[in-house]
Amino acid sequence: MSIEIHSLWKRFGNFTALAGIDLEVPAGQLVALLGPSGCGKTTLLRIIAGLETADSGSILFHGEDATRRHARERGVGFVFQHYALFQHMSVFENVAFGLRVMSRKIRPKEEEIRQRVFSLLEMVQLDWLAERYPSQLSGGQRQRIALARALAVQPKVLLLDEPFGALDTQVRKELRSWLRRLHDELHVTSVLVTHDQEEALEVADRIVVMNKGRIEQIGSPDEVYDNPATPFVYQFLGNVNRFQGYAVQGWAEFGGLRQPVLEHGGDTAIEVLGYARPHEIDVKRDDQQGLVATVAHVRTLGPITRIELVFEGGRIQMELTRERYQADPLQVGETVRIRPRRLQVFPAEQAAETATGAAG
Amino acid sequence: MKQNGSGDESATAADIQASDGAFYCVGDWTLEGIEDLDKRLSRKHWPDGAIEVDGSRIQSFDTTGALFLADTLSDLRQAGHTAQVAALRPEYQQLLELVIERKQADHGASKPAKKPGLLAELGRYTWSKVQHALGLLAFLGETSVVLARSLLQPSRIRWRQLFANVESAGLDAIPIVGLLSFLIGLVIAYQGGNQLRYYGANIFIVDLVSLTMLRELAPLIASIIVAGRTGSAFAAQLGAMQVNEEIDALRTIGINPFAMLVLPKLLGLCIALPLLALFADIASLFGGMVVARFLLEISFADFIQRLPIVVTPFSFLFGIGKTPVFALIIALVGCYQGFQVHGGADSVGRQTTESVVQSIFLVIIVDAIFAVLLGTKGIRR
Repeated sequence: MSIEIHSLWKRFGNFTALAGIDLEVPAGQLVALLGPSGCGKTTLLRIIAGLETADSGSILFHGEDATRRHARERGVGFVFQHYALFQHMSVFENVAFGLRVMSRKIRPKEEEIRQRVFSLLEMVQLDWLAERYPSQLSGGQRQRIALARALAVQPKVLLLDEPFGALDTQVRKELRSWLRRLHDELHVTSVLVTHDQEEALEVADRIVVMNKGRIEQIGSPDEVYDNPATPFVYQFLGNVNRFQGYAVQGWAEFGGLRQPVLEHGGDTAIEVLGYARPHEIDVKRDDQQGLVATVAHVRTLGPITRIELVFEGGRIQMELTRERYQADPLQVGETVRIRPRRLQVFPAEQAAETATGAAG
Repeated sequence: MKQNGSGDESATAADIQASDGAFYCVGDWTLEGIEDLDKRLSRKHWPDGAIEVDGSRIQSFDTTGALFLADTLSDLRQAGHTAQVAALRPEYQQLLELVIERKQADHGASKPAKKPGLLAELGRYTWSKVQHALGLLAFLGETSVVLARSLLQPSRIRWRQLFANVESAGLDAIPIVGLLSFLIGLVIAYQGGNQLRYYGANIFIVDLVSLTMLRELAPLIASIIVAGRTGSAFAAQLGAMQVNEEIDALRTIGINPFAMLVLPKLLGLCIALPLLALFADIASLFGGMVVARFLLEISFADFIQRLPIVVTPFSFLFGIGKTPVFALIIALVGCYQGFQVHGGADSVGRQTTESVVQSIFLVIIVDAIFAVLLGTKGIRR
């Protein structure tokens, strides 16, 4: 089932949580809402679930207006950050609960409930824990039970609110890929809220980057990573180096670097900022072009080597694979030329607009 | 990059200069440059209305300068001007914004707010109470709707939870209610009996104890104990569920939290509290009888014989009849406060305390209203 959202607004007192959100979630896709805390992503999810009401705007489920529909009529499954399992019920009862409370006409028979619950528990690979209580489970297990409970009522939409936010890194990574596999099997329309860009890039079909109650960019993981639409997206998705310079007559200049910019062909110079990812930077010793920089730090972190350089405009971080670095190691204090293979240029005002958001 | 201001000795003093009706920031707006800028600015005469300060002639700029500029602007705004900076270089503009943002964050966090006046505090307090009362009223309304719907379809009432509540609120409270009522009966009889003895009016101890306890004290004691035991438990339970997002989970699964959580508590307490009050009646009379027997030489038989003469059915029902109302208040306040929990565990504690204070307060107020309305009705002279 698809979800459509049209110009949604929500304010809490003086704080604008959502400022005109337009979004479409195609049926069967897993969409991640990604953004810093306070950007409105959880509010948006809760409005989709019907736990919160929007001030204005509309939500359509499968083309039908569901804005005023009650949470229980929307047929959504919701997975909460802190699991929200019923503490006084066993795992089995937790998963069965949604089925047990159905009105008598549509409630499945006891035997069928049992079967369904066990098949769900098998799916989350925890059928051997059916008789335990939530307090006896680990965080990862609890979250998988919560997912089974959300799926028990066969929701048309699955909503996940930072589901792995309270888990440690290792469990998180496991559950992430497990969730992706599960989604490939079930193909239920899903919306995942996260502030972890790695999680969004790995799990989602599409990523919606949000900032200050607005959508900055919508696109596939590759699109948003490779072609960020705004400086904010650049800064939020992964590390990035920033170069200050100016643009005039179709060329942007950053110290010793020149790059054509088609957007600005005018004769008046404007301030621009160039963005390049750490792995998109080349370093050469005997180049006449590029920025002059001094090696300040070298540190190898597992498979990659991170090099920090100082140039007159600030600091630059670059990353090389361990092998490439070891083939031609750099000395701390050495002077080299650096040149980004790819540099995306934005007018400085646009960057200033979003700078405060990136800090938050 | 001069963004962080050159720290050399040759800093030119910062200033704001007026020329052709416009204001220009000049010089080094750095730690060295602004040294006695405030003195220079305090002598400056600003025109009324809008002031636009042009920042294009600033030579260098650091956080101190940015802070000073931000302060100057906000001072001007406070004095009734509409002040703004224009033509600042982008990186300076960025620094200024950063400083303003930090300053605001700092302002909210660390600086203690100016103490509001007595009148303002009173107003705010009143307003918060009014809001609370409205919230409670809305809660009562919502509960009534669910209750009416459930009464039309009794199969939708969660009987098992209801009786579990009767057990925990009623049965489990019997020892403490019994003991305390017995002791209060004892104390009242002892204090009153000592006075009666002087007049030789020993037999009137029956009137004193039975009317005091049955009409007022026994139901009140039972209600206060239940408010402390059960009302707080309701608030804590619902509050914990709120913190764990369990209530939201119920909503998404398709359950009305009122029907599932509030109603069984409310109805359970409406059954349990009258029964507890009845038990408190008996226990307190027994306390009175013990004192009458040993202090005033009135036998148990005499006491019991006089009881129906003194206590009219109205007096008895007046005491018991109040308790479902008290039960309603305690359950509503407890559940309402539970739903009011937002954020973390500390909020649960706060709302639980609040629920006890409020429900005891309301119970006594309502009891007083009953006493005023029905006065001495049902008391024989």
